Amino acid sequence: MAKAVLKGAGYSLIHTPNFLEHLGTTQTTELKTNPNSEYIKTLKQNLRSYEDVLNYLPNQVYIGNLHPDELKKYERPFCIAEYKNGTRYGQFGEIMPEDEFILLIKCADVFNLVLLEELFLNNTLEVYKKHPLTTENEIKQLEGKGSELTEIENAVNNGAEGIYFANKLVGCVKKAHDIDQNLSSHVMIENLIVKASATVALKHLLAQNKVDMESIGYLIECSEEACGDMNQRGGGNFAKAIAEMTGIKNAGGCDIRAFCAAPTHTLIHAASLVESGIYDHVVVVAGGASAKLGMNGRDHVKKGYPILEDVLGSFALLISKDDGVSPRIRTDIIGTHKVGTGSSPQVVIKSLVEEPLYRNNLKIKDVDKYSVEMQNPDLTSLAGAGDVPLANYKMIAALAVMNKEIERSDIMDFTEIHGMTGWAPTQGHIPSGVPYCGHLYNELTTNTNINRAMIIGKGSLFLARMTNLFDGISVVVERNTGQKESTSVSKEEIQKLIAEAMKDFASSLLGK
Amino acid sequence: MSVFENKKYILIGDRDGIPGESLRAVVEHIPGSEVVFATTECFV
Repeated sequence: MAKAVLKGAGYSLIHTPNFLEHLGTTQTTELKTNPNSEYIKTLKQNLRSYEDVLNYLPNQVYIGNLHPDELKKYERPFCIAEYKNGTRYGQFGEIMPEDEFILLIKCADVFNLVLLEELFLNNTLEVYKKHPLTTENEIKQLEGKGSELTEIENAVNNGAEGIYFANKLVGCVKKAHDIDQNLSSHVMIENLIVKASATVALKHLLAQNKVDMESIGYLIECSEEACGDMNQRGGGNFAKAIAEMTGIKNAGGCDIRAFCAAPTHTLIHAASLVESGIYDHVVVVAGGASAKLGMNGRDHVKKGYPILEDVLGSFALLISKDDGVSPRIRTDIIGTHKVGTGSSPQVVIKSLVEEPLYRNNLKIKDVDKYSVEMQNPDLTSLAGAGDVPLANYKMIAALAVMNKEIERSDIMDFTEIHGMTGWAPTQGHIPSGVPYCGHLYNELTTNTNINRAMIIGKGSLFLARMTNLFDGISVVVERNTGQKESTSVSKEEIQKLIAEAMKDFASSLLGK
Repeated sequence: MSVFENKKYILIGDRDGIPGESLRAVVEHIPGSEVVFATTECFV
């Protein structure tokens, strides 16, 4: 069967300083447990402006305006870099401001739960109408749909979740049920944010005109939130809701959950659906995690920097039947962290890197680029959690040393050549392997020395308190040679099969 | 006798480094050790 290909990628960030304050669990927990803390008191002054977020180098890499290697030219933390060329739109998507995104939350709401203040809605809509991907349907959903501020204030006083912009209440999300915790206003706003943010990236993917929207057969959503009610928390289905909002009418869909590893699991599922011939085009999509906004903010501020986890991330990947050009997804080179694998870093990397490569007669150094968890190191290093991608690359290099592929003295060179500096926000699933897919498409379809890459996803299952097992999965993506894979059986193979069958038959006659 | 023997341990692992359960597996081999609490934290 012909391999599926990675045909396109859309990526978007949404600057959300007000959601950071009101929905980020670090902030909401601090407000409950230590409301008079210095962190809470100075929170607003430690938030970045939209311009600062545009000029933040990792963000420009995320939307495709800068190549990941550009980051090597700058000292860290990147937030001190004198970079002023950041723009809203990039090759893969955009960095959307918070006010326009709030309009999309209302567009995502089909149960009349979202109220937006009339003046805010009208003024922001005038700006949003100039967005290149605004649809008539969105405008129809918003025009004349403003509410009185007093109505919003009353709703917030009765348990609705406030929506703020520029530190002012401009709207709210009401609860969807009187007593069901899974339909509470807090859960509803988190889920509407997933839906709306995923749509931004998906619209950018579709705007690349790589596929007729009508021919997309299936969507799989792979974020970390759960939508459902008290009888089926996490019942789903974000994927079809996102497809509906985006106008993809001919697709089915479902959600896959696997913590941060979910995008790589989902990429493999999508490739399998295409390779098997069930669908010609499958979209992998995920929205952002509002709970993780400002997750390490206290440490950023302690070190004298602004709160850097101030964007929601989203992405959408198009997985299609082989077009002879786009990078092929090697579903025969998949590394699986199994139940019995263990959780030490060494055995995890062995299962994800060494096992699938050696099984296919490849060496660790035969993979030109490894896309591990591409967290921007500013966000984790300042929190004392180190440089996550670099730690992964060192572990892969150490394995290559143990297997005598490289010398111990070559470890840092290996990390330099086969690795990249991280650029993705700490949004759980967002940084996990897939942020490279857009750049990878470019590398593998142009004249570069990159011919093979491995996408690696890892997940922390212990967070759900169901198991202490680790999780991870990997897959290789290769340059498309344009040659069709052989799907027929040769004459020699048929002769061999007949000979073996005859031999077995003869043995059975002889009673052996 | 090493400084690690006969001690009570609070073990905090990192999901991207050494997990708490791996730390526990090592510490439990130390004579007289007692793991009071072991966890793995996720910063991402």
